[in-house]
Amino acid sequence: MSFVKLDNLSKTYPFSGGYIQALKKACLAVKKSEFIAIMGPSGSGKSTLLSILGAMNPPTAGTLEIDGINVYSLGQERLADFRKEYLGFVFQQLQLIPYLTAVENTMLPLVVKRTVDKKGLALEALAKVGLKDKAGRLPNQLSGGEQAKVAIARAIVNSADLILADEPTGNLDSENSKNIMNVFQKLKKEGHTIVMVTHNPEDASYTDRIVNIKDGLVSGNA
Amino acid sequence: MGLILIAINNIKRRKSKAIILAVGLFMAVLTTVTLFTIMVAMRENIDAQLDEFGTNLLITPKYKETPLSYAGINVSSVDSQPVKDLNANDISLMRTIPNSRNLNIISPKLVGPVKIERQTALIVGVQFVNELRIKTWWQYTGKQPKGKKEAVANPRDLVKKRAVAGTNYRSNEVIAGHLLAKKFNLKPGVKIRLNNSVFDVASILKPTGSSDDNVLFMNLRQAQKILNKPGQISFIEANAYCLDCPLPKLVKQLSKKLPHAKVFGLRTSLAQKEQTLAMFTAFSIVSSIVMLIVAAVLVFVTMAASVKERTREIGIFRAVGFRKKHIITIIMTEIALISIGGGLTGYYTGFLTSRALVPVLAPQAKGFYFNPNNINLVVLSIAVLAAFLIGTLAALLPAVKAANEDPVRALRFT
Repeated sequence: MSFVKLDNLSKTYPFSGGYIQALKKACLAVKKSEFIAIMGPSGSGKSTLLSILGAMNPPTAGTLEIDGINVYSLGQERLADFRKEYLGFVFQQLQLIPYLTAVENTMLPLVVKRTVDKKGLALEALAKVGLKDKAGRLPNQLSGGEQAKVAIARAIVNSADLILADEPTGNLDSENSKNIMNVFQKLKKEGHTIVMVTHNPEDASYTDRIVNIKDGLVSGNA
Repeated sequence: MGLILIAINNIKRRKSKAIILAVGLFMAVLTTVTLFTIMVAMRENIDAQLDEFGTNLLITPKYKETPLSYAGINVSSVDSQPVKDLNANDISLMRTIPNSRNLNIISPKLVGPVKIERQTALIVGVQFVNELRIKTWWQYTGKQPKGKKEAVANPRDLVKKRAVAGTNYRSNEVIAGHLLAKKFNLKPGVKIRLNNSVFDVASILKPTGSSDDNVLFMNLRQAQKILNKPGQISFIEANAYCLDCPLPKLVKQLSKKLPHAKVFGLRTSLAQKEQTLAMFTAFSIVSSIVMLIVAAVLVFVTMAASVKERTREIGIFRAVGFRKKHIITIIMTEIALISIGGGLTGYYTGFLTSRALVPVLAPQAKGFYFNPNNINLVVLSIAVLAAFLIGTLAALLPAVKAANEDPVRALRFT
């Protein structure tokens, strides 16, 4: 059974008095603990697809189901709760809060959760990505690779079932990219489902499956 | 870590913006507290200066006919008779009105003619202790009044000393008005015979430009004795604190208690002072409102800019599951902390400023507000609350706007 299921999903944006169709009746099914890569040229609709999967961008038509929940049938605040419970994000620019330390950035999704030992969980997540010893450092005191690891730790701290990564290695050298891909593979083995947008075929080689997208059309959905 | 720590960390990171906001609120509170404190001080000053303004209540007997006189000029050929003379009992009755605590000084007087060297002169029987408290503008020449030898430079000081000791002028001492003394060639220390009684001239008044220049002041009981009017009083002058008790209210209460008397409220110099104070009060209120509006606009503009600057950060918060209320809580916590800081420092600086200014602007105000050792908790609470309300209300719209930020747009997903 699919953990993530997109059914005839379309998205149009208003543009210059008309519309641009970013996604055209996209269908996609992702199994639990699957690690997939979404590849395609710039402007093909990758980021739109990822934002729809991230419960932040309602589609114009079609449905998205995650763990059997019709995501966009939820109200705005319930969507925020859904993101908090189910999703973990690794953003393209990593998007760490500059005035929070590594452990505080990691803790962010737990701030609004009734979790007892937030710091303990955050340190545990940092340990998983091998960064526990730098927990007290601010983002600008970390290397690019380390910042990416903090972003991943933040994505998994709430035991997110689905991790969405938008070009997580875009600004990293090959060595750090390799490290990050190894972390993702480890997370997949632990049971996380991962959807990663990438331009890099080498990164895509770490995944179970590659989904291509071009002009809003999804292909390779095996 | 909680929402409050995020707010505190953001304040630390954006120190300059936080300082701008705090300074705006600080200035508003500083201005308001300073003007308010000075305004209250000036009110107290007027209160304290009531003695110098003289009397503001006049009680005379009711007359059978309306007196035909104006500005001291009597145009009636017939002497009007009082319905009933005033007496010492009326003073006791005055002390029983509901607002009797507002009656500061009560000075009864008996006026009557006496013969000095075969000529008629007017004497005024007074209680010197009260009279000299009312007539603070009186100045004297000559020696101090006789009686017990006491080392004081001014008769008023002597009166005060004696008032404290429960004594009064000696019953045979008189104070002569400037013109009367000139007419009868009176000097301090000479003896004077009035209706077969001998008195010592204790002091000569310097010119006052009033009726006081033409009369002889003496002890009330002695005046009653030589005029053969035991217990009788011609009229009563009184001085009342009226800031918390309007003069018309006092007049009404006294008129009710003394139905045989006519009670007048005099508002001349006091009214002028109060008018000035009313203008200053209006100025203070307008200035404070302007400052508070400026502070509110400053908070609004700065917070709106800050929210715009933090769009991406807010997008991250929303993406990881923060609800709108969480975003609003973070922003409102920031502004609340800044506002309270601005309010506290503004109050304290305003307190210090007014502490420096009040002795110059209102030297006689000695109330609670101006005691350097006392921080007024009521004013402090109001100041901080006002800063808090202005800050949070002005920041509410930017905070709600931030909470409604589309996370996709904020993170530039599209």
